[in-house]
Amino acid sequence: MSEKRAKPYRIPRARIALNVATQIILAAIIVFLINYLSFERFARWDLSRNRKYTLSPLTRNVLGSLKKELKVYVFFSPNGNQSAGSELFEDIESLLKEYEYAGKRRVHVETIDPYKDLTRARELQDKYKFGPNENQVILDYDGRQKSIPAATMADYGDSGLFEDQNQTFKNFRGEQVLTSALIQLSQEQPAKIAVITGHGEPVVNEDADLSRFRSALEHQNVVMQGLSLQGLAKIPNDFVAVVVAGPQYDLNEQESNVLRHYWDDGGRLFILLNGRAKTPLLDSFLNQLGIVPAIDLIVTTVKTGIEEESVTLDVYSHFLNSTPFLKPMVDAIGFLPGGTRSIEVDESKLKALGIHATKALVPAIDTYWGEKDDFLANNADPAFHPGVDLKPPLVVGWAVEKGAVEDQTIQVRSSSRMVVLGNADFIRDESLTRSAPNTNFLLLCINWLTDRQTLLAIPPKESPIYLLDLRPAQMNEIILIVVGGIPLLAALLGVFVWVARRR
Amino acid sequence: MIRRVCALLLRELSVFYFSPIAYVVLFFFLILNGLSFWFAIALLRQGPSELTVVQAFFNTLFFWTAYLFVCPVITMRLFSEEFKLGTVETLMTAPVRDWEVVASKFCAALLFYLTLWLPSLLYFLVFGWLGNRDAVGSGAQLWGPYLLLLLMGAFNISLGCLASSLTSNQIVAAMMALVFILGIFFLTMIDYVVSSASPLFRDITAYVAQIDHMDTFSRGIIDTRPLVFYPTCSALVLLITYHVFQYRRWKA
Repeated sequence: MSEKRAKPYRIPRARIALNVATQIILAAIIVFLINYLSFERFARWDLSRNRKYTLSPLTRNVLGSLKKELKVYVFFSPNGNQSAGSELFEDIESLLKEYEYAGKRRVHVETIDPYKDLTRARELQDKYKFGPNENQVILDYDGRQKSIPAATMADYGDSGLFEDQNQTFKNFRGEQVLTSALIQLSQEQPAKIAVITGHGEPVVNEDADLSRFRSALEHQNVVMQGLSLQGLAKIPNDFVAVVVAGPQYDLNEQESNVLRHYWDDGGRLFILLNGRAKTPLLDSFLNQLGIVPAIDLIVTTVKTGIEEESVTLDVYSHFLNSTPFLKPMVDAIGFLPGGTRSIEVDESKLKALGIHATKALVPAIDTYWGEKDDFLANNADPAFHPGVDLKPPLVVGWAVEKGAVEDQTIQVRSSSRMVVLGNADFIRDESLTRSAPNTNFLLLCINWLTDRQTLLAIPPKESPIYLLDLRPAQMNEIILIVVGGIPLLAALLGVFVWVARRR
Repeated sequence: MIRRVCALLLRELSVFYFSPIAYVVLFFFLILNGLSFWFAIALLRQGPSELTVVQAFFNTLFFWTAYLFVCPVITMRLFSEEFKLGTVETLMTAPVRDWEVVASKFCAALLFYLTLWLPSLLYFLVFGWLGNRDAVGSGAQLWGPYLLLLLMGAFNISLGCLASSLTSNQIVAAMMALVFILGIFFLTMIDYVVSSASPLFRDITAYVAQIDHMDTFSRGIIDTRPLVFYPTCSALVLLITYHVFQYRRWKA
């Protein structure tokens, strides 16, 4: 009787392969689903010192309420180190990364690197009208745009005027600035600004030489409209500010009175004086407020050869941080071409009227003087005459305010504000192209006048700056320990193991 | 089961730690890391900076070079050597499960990987001892990158294990692992090349972007996404490795 041995059952390889493939595919699907959940629902905890990367609830609300895609373009110039705000690049990038996360794919940030993509850089420069050396962030939401100069996103420490250009970066307030701009873009109607006409002022909406000025304001969501004061009783209420852009002819009594009433009613004025024009009534209007434009032209001599000198009307000037809204610009140099008047103030009158005036702009070097002779009409060479001409220090721009509320977080339009500048040509394309700080100055002035500076209750973030205090001897100690000592310990351990194993 | 895994782990660890080659690797790796640290502080010494020393150390070319190349070196011999010497037959007939073999080899490699990186913690201690404690940053800015280094390392080692299980040639295994690791690493770069990509595309590339992850963690931000991505992907790759290892059993 023979027992038939059962053949061992052999699973076909194809079935094993199918089983393995199924296992792997199922596992891959599970891994994909877990990661999909993690991708959609994630958390981020900011455990950095100072909680530097934590967005405020206000910013989160604003980003959460976006209905359309917000495009953010970060443009930093290849000559970044020389441009204002270049040191903020890392901070701005980190901050915008948090905006992207909080915006849940409604925020699209694009950093434009001209080295990597020159075509894209040029395309955006043409679209948003900014120069290749300007560091800025552009917000584009629902067809409305706003440009933010990078330098406006930080507070800087004091630095001595005419001394070294390096100033200390204190606080980063990018979130304040960006969220403020975003609120304006997403909620506000464009601000309307009146540009006075009828006295030979440039026509801002037509003059080809003012295209950069126009686009700079358009990108701040500001609309400009010409306004003739002739026969007008008061400035219409729908204008948030009034610009007097270098009249060639003087105002008349009635026009001057309209401006005066506007100022008294909490108006906002941006007055650019024409250095080559005589405007006694406009000067008188300013005189009544304690602002005294001098009848002069600021000049200096420049060397044009070994022993040759010539006189120039171009004034290079410093922005002063005594005017708070200009703090981001204190290391920048402005360029005022064409003819600039100096402006003084009557302290006693200012005090009597309760007006607070701060210096905004002064010539960058002390060789400038205020020439009183009408040398342009006389076709004469100007020369400094002590006792007659105005000697330095001269001031070419003032920021003036009456009735300000001390608490910066209160957003009420309670005060009259005015910026007076002794130059009208700085808004022309030639000047704005030549000097990027001029554009920033212009935007800061307009934002201050239209209450658009960052009054949001988002505290600025203190940026800890580390300066390694290591002497050369300490550096040697470090290299000795980290490159010599620690690897040597590992090598000794290896030798010990090797010897132990041989025994 | 635990005893078997421990025995296998000890066997693998003894191969790592009783081999002089491991100490040669450790020696050169520590020199590279030391130089990386020294360059980081030399860079920060040039002027005031917002970067902490931790950020500077974990975001340099030296760091990424060491990080990318070390895992293929550690893992290249894990399975290939067993295949080449024929010891895999002993291992497969021993009373141990295949997944225990894979797990022990993975854990041993991961422990050795940690041995390579942990001495770099001493750098920050030395640095703090010399009076620059503030420049190291917050506690999370220090432990965050090390946590991420562990997770990213685990993923790379799992890729190395897979590569090693596919061939009996150690050099081929190392090259394969390097290709896997660099391939995933360069996915990060897509975001840098395609500047005007859609937000979804950017989010997806950011999800796997190792440079971004390290930048985030070294700034002191703890993000849950890498904490999920690396362990789950490591588990998946180890499962594939297990099946590749088992393939030798059922192919015959």
